[in-house]
Amino acid sequence: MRHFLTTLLVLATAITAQAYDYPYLALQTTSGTVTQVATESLSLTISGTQLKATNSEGTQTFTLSELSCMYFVASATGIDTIDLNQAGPVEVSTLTGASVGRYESLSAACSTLPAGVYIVQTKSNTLKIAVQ
Amino acid sequence: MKKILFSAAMLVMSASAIAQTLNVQVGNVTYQFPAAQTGQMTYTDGTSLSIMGKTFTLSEVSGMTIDDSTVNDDSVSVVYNGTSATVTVSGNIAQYLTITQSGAHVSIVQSDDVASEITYQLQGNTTDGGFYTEGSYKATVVLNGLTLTNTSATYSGAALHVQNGKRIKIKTVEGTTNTLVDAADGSQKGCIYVKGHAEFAQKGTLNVTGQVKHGIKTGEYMSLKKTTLNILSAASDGINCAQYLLVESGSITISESGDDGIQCDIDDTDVGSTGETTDHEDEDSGNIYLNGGTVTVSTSATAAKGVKGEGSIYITDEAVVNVTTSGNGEWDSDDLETKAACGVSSDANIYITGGTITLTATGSGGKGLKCDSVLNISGGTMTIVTSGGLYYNNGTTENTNYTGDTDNVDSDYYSSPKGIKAGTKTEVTSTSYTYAGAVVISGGTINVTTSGQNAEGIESKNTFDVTGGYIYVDAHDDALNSAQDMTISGGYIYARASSNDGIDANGNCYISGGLIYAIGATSPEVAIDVNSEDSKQLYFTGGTLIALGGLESGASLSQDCYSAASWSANTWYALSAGDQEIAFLTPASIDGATLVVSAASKPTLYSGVTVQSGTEICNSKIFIDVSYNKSDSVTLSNYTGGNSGQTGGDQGGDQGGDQGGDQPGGDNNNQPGGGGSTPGGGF
Repeated sequence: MRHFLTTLLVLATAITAQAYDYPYLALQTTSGTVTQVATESLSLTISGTQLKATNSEGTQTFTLSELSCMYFVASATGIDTIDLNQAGPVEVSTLTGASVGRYESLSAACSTLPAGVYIVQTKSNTLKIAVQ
Repeated sequence: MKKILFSAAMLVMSASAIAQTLNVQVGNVTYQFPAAQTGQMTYTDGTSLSIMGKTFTLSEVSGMTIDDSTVNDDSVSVVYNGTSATVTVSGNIAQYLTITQSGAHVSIVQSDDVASEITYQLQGNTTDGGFYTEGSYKATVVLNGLTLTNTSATYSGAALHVQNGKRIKIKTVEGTTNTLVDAADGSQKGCIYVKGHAEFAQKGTLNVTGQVKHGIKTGEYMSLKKTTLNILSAASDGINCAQYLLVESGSITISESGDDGIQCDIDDTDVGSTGETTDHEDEDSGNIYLNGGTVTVSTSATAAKGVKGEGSIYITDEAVVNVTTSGNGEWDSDDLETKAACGVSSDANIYITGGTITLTATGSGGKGLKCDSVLNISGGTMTIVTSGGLYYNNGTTENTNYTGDTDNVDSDYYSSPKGIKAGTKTEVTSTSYTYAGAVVISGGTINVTTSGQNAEGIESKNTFDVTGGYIYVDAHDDALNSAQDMTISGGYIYARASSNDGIDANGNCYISGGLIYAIGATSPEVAIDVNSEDSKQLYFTGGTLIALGGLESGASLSQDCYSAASWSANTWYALSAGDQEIAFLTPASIDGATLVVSAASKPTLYSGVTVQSGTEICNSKIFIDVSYNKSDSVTLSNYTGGNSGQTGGDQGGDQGGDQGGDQPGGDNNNQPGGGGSTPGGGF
């Protein structure tokens, strides 16, 4: 088992210009379902009764009448207490929004991922983690 | 179960984080919402989307994108491109604006709920476009390389129409040239119309053409700082504003106007003028303040004024004012009188404390400078040249070079050309008048040349007071004229009239100081005239006097005066008296003119001198503190004023003797006076 120190590093220096404040746009339906789409290169078009969200990862379609709201999902800030064994699955992507994979749990992701900084989307929130 | 504390440290947001913007496109309008400000964006019934208070009808939204555009709050950008324009609106004000477009015509109406100043940046090119905005809050318009002609007058015939009755800043970006032309057909009041007050700023260039009425019209005050403003042409006034006009720097050039170059009026005529207020707060005076920069006006319209103020005009500091009017006078069928062109005209006072002013009037009846009240000059340099003749028009018959006698002509039927006119003389009865205003000169350099019929140099319709300054006047009619008393106690004056008196006071004339060189025309005109027919007198108590043409009879001469035995035309003379050394140039021959001199101490007069050094004044007709090679001295005889004044005979040189017969005072024809057989001899 890899021993890893799961601490988020303080990135005090500029790393790349590709760290968005809001890497995701969350679209929520009237039933409460939230779908997050990566904001990089995102365009939303309205075609009849549908809203199409297109980015480098593809297109997702939403029925306008079923949408209740949308909001930007901010970068993780502050200090949180995270349960590594919280129920998954989790979606992991790079800082550029490229999907890394889907893991059963946050713990499984952390133990598998190589060292680096990742965006992890859990059921309830989105985190930025650094794996050493 | 591990619970591991993750510290999600705050990233330094500057270089490592990118702010994002949600762009909502509706037609040619893009609304930019910073992701950090959007919060929850609400969909309603699948038909609308609300973002930061702005509700979009989804069927009108052509698309939404997210990028890293920078959004400045409270800003609108309009980029004109031929037959269309793209509008970009910052998200925080989107809900307050109603935007409509027709081709390249853009209309933006602000809600009364706007609580912050919006900046509208305009740029691009269109041959049929316009910008119209209205609202109840102050705003800024930035011209950043805009070339716009309004052809179809869609929302307004103006190129730029700001209906806000508030403070509107119009900034011309440095390094840019902006050219605006309004519609040829329309009801617009100006190519640029601002209902409120317009403050022009920044160092860009703004070219304006007003095809229907004014180049620029503001409902309230207008100010200009740094901008290069060119009114290429205007059907009416180049600039027409109310309350006051303030020019601090930059330049205004009006190349042609159908009426006045610049006109400023009182806004609330029911209340009347507030006069100048502290920091111009709530001022409504009709005043014009030229405190810096350059104002250049050229107009050929009949009876047009270059710079016209219903209030007072102030020219100060480093201001440069150049006005050329070439229009003739005209008949005003409303006021039933003639009107004439004028370079700078005020219905109140004119104060000149600095600046460089050049005024040229070539039309019939044209004047350089005119005010209805007091002209006060204490500094600056002013050059005025008028060449038009007298303008006559009785409503039926017009004559642009009337040379007849005006003594029995109704004064409403003619306008005399003049260099400067100040004050008013109002007829009460056929024999009584009221007088107002004055000419007051305490400093500055003034050069006036007039050549037309009846063209006086400087006229006061009331009193005329000189305590300082350098005054040069070469006029066709009286060089200096006052309707009432004239008082000279200082300054340097050259006053020459080619067809009348050098100095003419219709009241008393008091000379107690200064240097006065007055030249009258052929007898019976004199160098210094007063209204002796009305028991007025010349009181000469001090100063240095050179009077070519003699003095009005009956003068009270407390300081000794002397007449020259003879004088030569176009010759340099030197007057030496105590520490005072003055050289002066005589004009062409004047029949019957006696040369009279006086100084604080008994003077010696030398003719035909060569000036070696000294201070040139009065258009180089006089040197003070002069050094010269002494030549022949001129015989001087005691002079007591007027045609009967000369007692002569006992002054120096080789003149005198038995010339002049037994007539006292000589006959002003270059002959030594009186004295009979008294030989000349020196003094």
